[in-house]
Amino acid sequence: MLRSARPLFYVTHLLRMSVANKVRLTLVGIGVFVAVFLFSAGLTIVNSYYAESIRSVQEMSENTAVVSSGLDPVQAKDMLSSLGVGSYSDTLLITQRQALYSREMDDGRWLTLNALVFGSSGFSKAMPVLTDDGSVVPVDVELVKGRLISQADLQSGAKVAVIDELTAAMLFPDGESIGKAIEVGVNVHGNVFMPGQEEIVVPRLEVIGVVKDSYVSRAHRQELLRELGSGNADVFVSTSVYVPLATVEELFSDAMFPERYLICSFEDPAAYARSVAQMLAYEDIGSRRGAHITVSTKERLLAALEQNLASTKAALNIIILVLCVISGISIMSITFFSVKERIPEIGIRKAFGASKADIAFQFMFEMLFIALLASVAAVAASLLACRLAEGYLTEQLFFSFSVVLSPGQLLLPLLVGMLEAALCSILPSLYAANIKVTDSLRFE
Amino acid sequence: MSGVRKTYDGRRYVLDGLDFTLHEGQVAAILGASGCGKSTLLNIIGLLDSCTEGSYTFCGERMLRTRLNSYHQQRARDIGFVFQSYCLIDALSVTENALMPFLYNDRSITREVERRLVSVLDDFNLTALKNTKASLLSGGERQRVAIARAMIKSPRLVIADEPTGNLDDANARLVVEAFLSIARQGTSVVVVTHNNMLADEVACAYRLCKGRLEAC
Repeated sequence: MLRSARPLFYVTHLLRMSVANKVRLTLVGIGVFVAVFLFSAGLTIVNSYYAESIRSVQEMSENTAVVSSGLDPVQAKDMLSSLGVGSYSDTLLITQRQALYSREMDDGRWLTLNALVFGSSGFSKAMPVLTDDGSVVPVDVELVKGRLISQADLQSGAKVAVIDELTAAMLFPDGESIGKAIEVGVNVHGNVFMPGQEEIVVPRLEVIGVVKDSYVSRAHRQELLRELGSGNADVFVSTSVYVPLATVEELFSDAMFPERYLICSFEDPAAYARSVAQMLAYEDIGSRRGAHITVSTKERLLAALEQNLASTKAALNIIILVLCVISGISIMSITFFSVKERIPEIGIRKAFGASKADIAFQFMFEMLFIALLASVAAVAASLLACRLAEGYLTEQLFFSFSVVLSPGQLLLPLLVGMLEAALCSILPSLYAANIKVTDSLRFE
Repeated sequence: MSGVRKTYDGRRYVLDGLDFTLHEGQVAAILGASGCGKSTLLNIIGLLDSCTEGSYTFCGERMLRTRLNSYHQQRARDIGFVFQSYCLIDALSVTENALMPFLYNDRSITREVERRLVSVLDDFNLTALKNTKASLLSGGERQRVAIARAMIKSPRLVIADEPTGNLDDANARLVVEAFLSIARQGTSVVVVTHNNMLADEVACAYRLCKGRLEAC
């Protein structure tokens, strides 16, 4: 059935002509594919990388600030008092991960649960979490079962601990964790001493409460599932354990390079803003006087991430621009060659009523259609490649990584590919349009 | 056409004071030696080129040199071409090549056009080849497709440059009959030919010599 309205007939014809020349289709398609593939993959990786970081920071408690400094605890507290900061908790982070649990799996690999140990002087509002890019972020406490560490526990230095849901699931799969003991510092093979060495006494802490997983813990859970399903070597998963500050200072007194933080919480947003401004001013002065302090707020962390993201995207854009110029030159050459090859065809089209605009439009349409096909294939291939590379990238970047998609991430590479084709086909199309019909009909 | 002159270099005139009139439904054959200007004359008649001097009136409208680039719509609507080198698009089938004239005018592919296509393909023994790519056709088959393409939209004028050049006598006969048939329906035909049979069949035969047409 040939009957059709002219526009449909015309578009069908153009689509047919777009793919008629297999050599041009292949060469131009490859040129566009490579540029769009690299752009799409780069954009996906960059956006996903920063999306993870941004999400972990967005979970940070409102109206809280984290202060880290080289000052001793007394000096630090005096400094906060002078700035009018009333409510804060003294937090000590044991940076060296402590093994909690290790077992051999059926396939011969070892599964080990490592924990960061946080000792704090207060857990009522926010609990600290270490993000994968090294920031300490306080998140709201959501108690799932049991109780939180109390003032009595803090004053007596009780040997108690609060764990998160991931830790509870790993250590106590039957669900009963409250009242159980965890051993902090068991080595990877589950032994507390090596034959021939003195017995090592590991700290035993009673589990008194379980809190909801933070975003970081949820990401680690996903990473664990991926690791278990892969053929990679021994599996390690990270988590956090929270104990009273005095308990940490007692049990881990020989820990290497512990880091101290002051987590400042404010009920009143105005007071938060005032205090943060003062702390930032102190940070500026202190840096010039050699008394370094660092103030981290949600806004500051997000701004730093946004700036890094913008810088990375700018670098990516420059690389892609260069790639597009290189592939665009080859696309333009191929199009010129195609025009030369089709000069008699141009003549006959003009003889049958094609205007200059028709000829120019036809050549540009053909290039845009080829670019569209190549760009769609490139975007799909890049997403597949990123998915397949998730595990590898997680290992290389040393933190959990999962592909994050957005409409802009899918559309922008498509537009770049088509824009490249459009720009590179303008000159050849105009050249084709201006070929004299009598010359073209004589062309052999 | 009146007093038409055409030069490409400003010195030698390929057409030099040519007068020519073609009425509706008339078939005119133009003969002449190689290089005498037959193709130039056809290009001017077909609004593909303009004359250097003189006047050309097509369907009552004076054709102006300065508006040459705007006559594509007129060609799309009123003129069909058969070129010496066929000028088919190899990537397209016989049917698609035949329907090419409908790309650039505002007519849709109606049931009437479908019927006309079937009739034209049948007239030129192309029905069996309708889905064959043009690149796979012989020279004679390509010639017949080019003629079918020129006739399919029932133009007011068909311009043919050596339309029977690669055809055997039987197929040449078909082409002559086709031209005479469309002429009877009101289409004018201008044919450049070396085929005496065609020249003998038409009412008007001219010889192009020294830039002017002389009746044979």
